[in-house]
Amino acid sequence: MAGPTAAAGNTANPAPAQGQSAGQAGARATAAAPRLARVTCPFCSLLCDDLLPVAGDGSATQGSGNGAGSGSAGVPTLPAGAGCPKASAGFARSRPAASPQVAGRDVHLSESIDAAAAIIKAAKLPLYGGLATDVDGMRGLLDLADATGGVVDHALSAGAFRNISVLQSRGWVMTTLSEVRNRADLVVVVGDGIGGSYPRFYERIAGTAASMFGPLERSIVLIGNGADAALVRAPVTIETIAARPDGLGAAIAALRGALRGSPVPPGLANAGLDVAALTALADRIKAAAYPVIVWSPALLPEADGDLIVLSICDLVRDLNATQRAAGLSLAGSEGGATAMAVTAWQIGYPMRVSLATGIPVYDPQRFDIAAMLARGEGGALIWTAAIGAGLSPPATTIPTVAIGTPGLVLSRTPEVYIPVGTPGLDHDGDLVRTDSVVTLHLRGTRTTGLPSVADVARALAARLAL
Amino acid sequence: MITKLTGGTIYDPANGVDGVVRDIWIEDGRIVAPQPGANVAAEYSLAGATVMAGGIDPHTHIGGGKVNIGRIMLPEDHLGHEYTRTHLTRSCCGHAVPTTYAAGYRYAEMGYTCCFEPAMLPANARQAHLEMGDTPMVDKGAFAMLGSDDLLLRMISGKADPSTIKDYIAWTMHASQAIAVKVVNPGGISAFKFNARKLDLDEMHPHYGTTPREIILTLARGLTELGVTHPLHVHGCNLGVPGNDETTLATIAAADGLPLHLTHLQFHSYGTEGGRKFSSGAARIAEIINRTPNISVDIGQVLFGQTCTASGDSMRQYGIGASAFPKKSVIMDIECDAGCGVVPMRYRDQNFVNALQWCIGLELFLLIEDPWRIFLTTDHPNGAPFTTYPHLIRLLMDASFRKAMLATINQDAVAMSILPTLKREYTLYEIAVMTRAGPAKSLGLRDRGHLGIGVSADVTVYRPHADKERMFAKPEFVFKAGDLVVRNGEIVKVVHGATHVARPAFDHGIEDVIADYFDRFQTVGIDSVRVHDDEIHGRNGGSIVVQPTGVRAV
Repeated sequence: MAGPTAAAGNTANPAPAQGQSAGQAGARATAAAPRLARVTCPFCSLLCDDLLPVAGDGSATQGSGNGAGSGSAGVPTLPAGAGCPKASAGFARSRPAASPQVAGRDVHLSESIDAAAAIIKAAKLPLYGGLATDVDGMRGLLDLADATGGVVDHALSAGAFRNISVLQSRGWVMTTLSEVRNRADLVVVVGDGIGGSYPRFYERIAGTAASMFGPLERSIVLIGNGADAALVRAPVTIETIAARPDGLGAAIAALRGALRGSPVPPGLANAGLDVAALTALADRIKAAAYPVIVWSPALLPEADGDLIVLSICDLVRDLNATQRAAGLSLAGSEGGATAMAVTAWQIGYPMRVSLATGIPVYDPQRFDIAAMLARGEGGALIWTAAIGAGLSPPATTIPTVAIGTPGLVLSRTPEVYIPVGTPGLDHDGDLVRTDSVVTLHLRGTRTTGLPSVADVARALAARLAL
Repeated sequence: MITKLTGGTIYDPANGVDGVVRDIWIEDGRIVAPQPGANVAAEYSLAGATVMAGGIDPHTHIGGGKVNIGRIMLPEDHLGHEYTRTHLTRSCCGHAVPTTYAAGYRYAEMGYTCCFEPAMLPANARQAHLEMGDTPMVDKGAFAMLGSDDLLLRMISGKADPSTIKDYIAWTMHASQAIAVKVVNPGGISAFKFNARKLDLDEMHPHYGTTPREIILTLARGLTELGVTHPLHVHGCNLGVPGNDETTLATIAAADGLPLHLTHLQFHSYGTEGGRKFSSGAARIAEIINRTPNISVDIGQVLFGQTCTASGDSMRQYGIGASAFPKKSVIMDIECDAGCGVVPMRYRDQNFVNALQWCIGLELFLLIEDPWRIFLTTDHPNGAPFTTYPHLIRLLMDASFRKAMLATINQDAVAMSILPTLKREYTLYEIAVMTRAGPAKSLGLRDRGHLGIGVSADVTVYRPHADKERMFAKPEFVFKAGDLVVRNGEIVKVVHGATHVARPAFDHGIEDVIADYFDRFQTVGIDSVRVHDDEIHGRNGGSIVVQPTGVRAV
């Protein structure tokens, strides 16, 4: 049993003298300037909340009442040494002046609401897709979907369902970001692309050197092509065990086999896997105090992504028989984690649910909005994309209402376009983090005059007299 | 606008009213003194009806991450339990893990007006309040979980000043908008992260060296000195483990006069006697509780059928994984704060262990004498969904029904139980204590749980029936803050309740300590942890009721 560390004593202020407050007694308590309010970034599901406001004004760019775009002033900065292309690009994105539009023609917000309401009312089966928004936006959209008998599905649910199918058939043992940061002495990343999708994951979570338990000897091993290894800076290093995307499943199988002490099937060695390295990794996993296996479901190969997730989760569960281990899934950007959480607590199912019959009906195959559109199903598409400009609605000829951030890429002119603000920039909003436990409350500081998704949903409900 | 409820038979134990025919006058959402001659806008004739304050559930898992994991994991729970959208109500579904709308509607239909989420992780507090914000009809509140958070364990093992620890407890209650504090498997959720598979009352945590006993006493003493009304809400060590009756007795002894609330006591009342080494410890435990006035309990009754266990006790939830039905489960280690485990479960009447669990809960109900110190719960959904409360009330009030039920369950279990010998039948007054007046007093809800002048007019009206399940399942009227919201078991108006919190005093210097800890080690800053008042106000005009706390002792 390790004794309590000296740090524990420091964290708790020394006993104050009689009559003094704890604040007066501790040197730490009086050190440093007042803490600056921080800024939380909405541009991936890590939701880093340690961005610093720009020195001086720290806040809004002024916009005109009709939703003129924001310039690059007021971009929060990251703590020294951190680099995040997503945050920089997201906050600095110059959003073009945007007006609500009906059939490509600039109109007043109220006219766009009227037109959108008419489309929804006329549609036999409205499809509520995209869903890149905050908790209040989701609440508003789900109110609408329930009242209008719609289908609800998030833009990026295909990736999410690689996890959901495992959760619904097997379950898992998982951990969260702070646990990984402090406890994981071995982090095994399965597949490539995490550094691109979650740029500060290695720096903030997997690569930190000091934990509350003292200095931490942590290793990071990536099973993939190793491109991420180039993304980290000393002292973080990533060892790579080469595997192609179509070899990830076999790699996990080999790992599980090695953990069980089973002989490796010859076919695996022939498939180009470094079986020796995987066997050695298995030994390191067994010796680790808290190994964490990390994956991003959206980045796994489409063909057997869910089976890879299942395999990882079974591997982790096997380990827990004799040692602690856990999984960590990085997913849920573009409001995906938020959409899933709110839909689950309000409607009972994570996504791909139809309210057309007056009760929630769940069918991940049938109520996949992208597939429905390809099949020619659905009477109208109400697409919400309030965070990233790249979350375009799928190509479709059915009437489309696009509720989007200014500059949202659109393949054609939608029947109605309503520009909205982004949570954490233009208005306050809650977003759920990738580990689905922590929800951040983002504060918006820019005064662009753009309505929020919640505002638009509320206006639509009122217009539809719901 | 005055509403008058005329001629009902009132059971209002907080004010000593036991079956007295009396009128209730309501104005502006509150109960007011009678005003004969006043212009009555609405009058309800309640002749022959049984009238109580709205029900209060002091321990029900209705909001937060673990419940939502259960919802996503168990689509089969929702199938067959769907509720069609109406002009008043949202479509919703769920049985053991209902959606927030379903939970609110079903509670109100049963005459409950106040529900408390007992296991709110401070790291997950925002989500808990967002879910409760989407739970209509009822007032709500939550208990903040402490005891496996690394910051507290560092403080205790580092021999921090008790004043500092109290500041931290109080700060946590403010930041998470809690009304009370709960400890779950004290230190054990943390110990599990270090690969401990059990942690007894006097066993040292593998890293911090502190014991569950120390953690319980630190928190219990701290809360008492902070003036928080509700005692430390204790989910003790060794939940579900045969022989944990000894743990419970030792925990009661450890309290040594300090107020303590032992939750879901049924799961902590198991002996090891008999061929299957599983027996009832209820009689011994009840006897001690009867003569230990500083102890209150809720039962966590098991009832037969499909449900889902959802708990912060990751250690013990991992332990029962093999019994999962269906065969899936989630275990999480969470934010150096706590953990959780979600394991679906089917309790079968022909299964020896389940049948004996059923008996043990009822033994506790019938052997514990003071209804003011025992609350009716199934630890929803761990023992059974809350919609089974009317059935449970019938079991407590109707000995012949109990006897008939006993004949249908595993008889080896019955042979191990003294339940067949217990003839006690709860009275309406005692039910009113156990489901209204007692929880309100214990939680410190000054203006709920009774029908005195000035309280919120939360009133439930039942039609008496020999079948108590039928009587309690479908109240004739339910009033929430003076509005008629349910008639004959159906929603007639949708309202949104308040969030109850307690705010003990603390020295703000603790915030620098906490902020520094979060900056150095956690993945959010202190500002992100705080749930601000405007966040609760923002939803459905949600109001916050700050219930009183006593003067802080140093």
